[in-house]
Amino acid sequence: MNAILEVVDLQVAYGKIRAVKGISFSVGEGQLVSLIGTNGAGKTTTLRTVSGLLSPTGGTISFQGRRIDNMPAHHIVELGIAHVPEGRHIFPRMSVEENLLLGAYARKGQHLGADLARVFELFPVLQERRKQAAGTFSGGEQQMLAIGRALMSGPRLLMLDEPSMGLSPIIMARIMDTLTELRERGTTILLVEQNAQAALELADYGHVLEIGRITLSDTGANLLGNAEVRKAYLGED
Amino acid sequence: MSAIDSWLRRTLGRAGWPIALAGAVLMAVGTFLSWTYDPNIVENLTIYLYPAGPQVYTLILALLAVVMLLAVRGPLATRPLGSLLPGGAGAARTAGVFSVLVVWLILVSIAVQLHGFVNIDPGGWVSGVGALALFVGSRALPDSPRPVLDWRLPSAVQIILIAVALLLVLTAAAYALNRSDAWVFIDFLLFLAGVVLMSRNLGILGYLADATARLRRVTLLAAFIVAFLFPFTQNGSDANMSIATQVLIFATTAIGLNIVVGLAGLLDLGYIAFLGSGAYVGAILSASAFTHIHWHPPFLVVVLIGACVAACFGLIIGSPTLRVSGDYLAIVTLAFGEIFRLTMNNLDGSNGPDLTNGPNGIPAIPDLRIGGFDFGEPHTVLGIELGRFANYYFLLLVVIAFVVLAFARMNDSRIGRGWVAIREDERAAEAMGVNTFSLKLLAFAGGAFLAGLAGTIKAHHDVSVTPDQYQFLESAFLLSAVVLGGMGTVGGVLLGAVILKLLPEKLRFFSDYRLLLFGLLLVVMMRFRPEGMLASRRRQLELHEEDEELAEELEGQVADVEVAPR
Repeated sequence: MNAILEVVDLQVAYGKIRAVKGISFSVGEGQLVSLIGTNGAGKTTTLRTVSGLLSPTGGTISFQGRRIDNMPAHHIVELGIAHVPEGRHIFPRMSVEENLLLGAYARKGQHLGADLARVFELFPVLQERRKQAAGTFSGGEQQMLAIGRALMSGPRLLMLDEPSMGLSPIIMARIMDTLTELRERGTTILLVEQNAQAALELADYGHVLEIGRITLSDTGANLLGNAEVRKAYLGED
Repeated sequence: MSAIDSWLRRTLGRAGWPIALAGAVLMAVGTFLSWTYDPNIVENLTIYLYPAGPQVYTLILALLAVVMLLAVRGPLATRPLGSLLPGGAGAARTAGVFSVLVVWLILVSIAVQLHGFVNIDPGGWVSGVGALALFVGSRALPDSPRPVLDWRLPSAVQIILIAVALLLVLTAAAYALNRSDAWVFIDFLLFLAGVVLMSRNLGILGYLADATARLRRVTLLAAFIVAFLFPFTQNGSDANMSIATQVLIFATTAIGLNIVVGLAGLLDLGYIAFLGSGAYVGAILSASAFTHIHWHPPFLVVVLIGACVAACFGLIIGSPTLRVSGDYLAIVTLAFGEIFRLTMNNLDGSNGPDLTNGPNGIPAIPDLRIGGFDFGEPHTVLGIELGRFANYYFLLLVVIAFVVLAFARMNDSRIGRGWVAIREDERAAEAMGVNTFSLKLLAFAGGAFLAGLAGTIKAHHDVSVTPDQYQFLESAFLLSAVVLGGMGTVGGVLLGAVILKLLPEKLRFFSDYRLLLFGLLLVVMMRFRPEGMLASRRRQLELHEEDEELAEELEGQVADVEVAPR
């Protein structure tokens, strides 16, 4: 399988604090890859570096064979990487439609009607409330909007940072179903989660991050069965 | 206010209405009597049975109050009037407040100018007491909600309504400019504010705002036609036209600043320096005998050079500072404004090249000449003489049309959406692929470009350019105009510019206190209406998030960033 994203020996530091200490992983075309780990393991930092919001201090990131480390964020979006940030970060005083159009900001002068329709088909609630200010939405609806907004850029790789954060189990299951659906349609997904159970159930492949290093890599199913993982992340004795 | 209202309602009960009505009638009667003995102050209020100036304002307010009161209660309240004016009580209350202000301002001014309240004649007392009675009585009236008018008129009629409203604005502006007595001028403004707020309480203002939003192009065109007609109402008088051109220059610059502050959300405290760079380019490349560069390209070239020089300064200041967060930009632009002024002060040849004549500036800049048209010569059109300032007025009107167009295009575009996103959440905008740095730089340099453009014309209009015209205070005034009028809207900034430029011109006596008064005005605005007088819908939402009623009212309208008063 072709690797669409290739991360080799990535290192990122905030000043003197090294958050990511040399990690390597790859995401294959059409795969769903999960990064799991506790707070401070470096998951969010990794995603932010891939999407160009942070600069790496070492290592390389390649997307479809092209080096993208040290590329500005807006170029990376144009290449086809969409980022659903942690905590959703929708634009609260813009309407749903404006939020979605902003997601397609990188695609100058293209007709977006079909893409809008696709997002509305995926999340009908967004269509019902397309003129409403996004800040009035519930957490789950905001998460749907954030995912829809990312899809509007027509990504080849969709990266999600903790989509389950602060959601009720029912809504969370709904979001995870959506991810399954997206994967079945062929979208490549890189998913960062603290909720290891949900993330590994979906994942073709998973990596466990601990304080800036990858300590375990395996298929999602194997990791779910791994005694150590079950003990550390799924609360089993 | 509401505590006093409910107390009044309890004590007066149903007696409030007759008290208010009697007050309004007294007010009207008083205007037909003499208010003072001295015919030389406040426009001669000495003649019986012939109301003048402030007495007319009082009379109109009184009559409007009577109509509103009759619409609330009495034999006419149900059928003809009450159904036509459903918001009567609120409007009557506004009439009460402004009657007291309008009448008592004049009474106080008589007392001040003639040293004592004894000098007020019975007529003044009759109207004064009437106004107070109207105020107290109307406070006790039961609330009536502000109605939403849903007249379904054909669009032709709507256009006529808009045109009538704009002509009223023109008449009021021409009338106000011709008031030579400062007290009467303020009194008229109060009267005007009263009438506007009354029409708001009747839902008329809201209706007009919706109509203008629907018929935006027509409204814009009509507004420009009305502005175009203004010089023809001045009978060749240069005094008022000079003020009008200054207002236009100020407004053009303020709209440019509004792109930077209102749309992109960047705080620029040295914006006047960009106007200054344009003005200096205009002056140095003019045919003035005091410049040291003897190259006089055609004016259109000068305009482009001036605007580009200002934009280059914008790029130079912006590119290092826009990468970091907001506060730094404010400090750097503040410093840039001062550096500009000091540099212009010192480029007099004693150190470095002699470009600006230092503190003396560049005087004797000749009038503009575009294609054989001399802006210094008066012209007679249709028997009406149009002086030098009228010529500049027309030119500036074209410029402001261009700036307004640029503003509107940017606001509605993909770029405008990017700016909103940056203002809302810069990191998220970046993650969505918005090139935040270059968009901010575009706003910054674009704003500077427009200021530079206005500056080249200002140099010729002002005849001379000196460094002290471009001090920090002017930047502060520009920013006040934007904040006062309404960030992110054109209409609001125009209104703010008119107020900030017109008041000091008309009220010379308070020029010593103008900073104090503007400071107070801004504090009051921030407390009661932080979004400015004419706010954009989105700003209202940003600043009144806790206000659920407003959120509901605006729900479904956020997509539509229109100029419309609440």
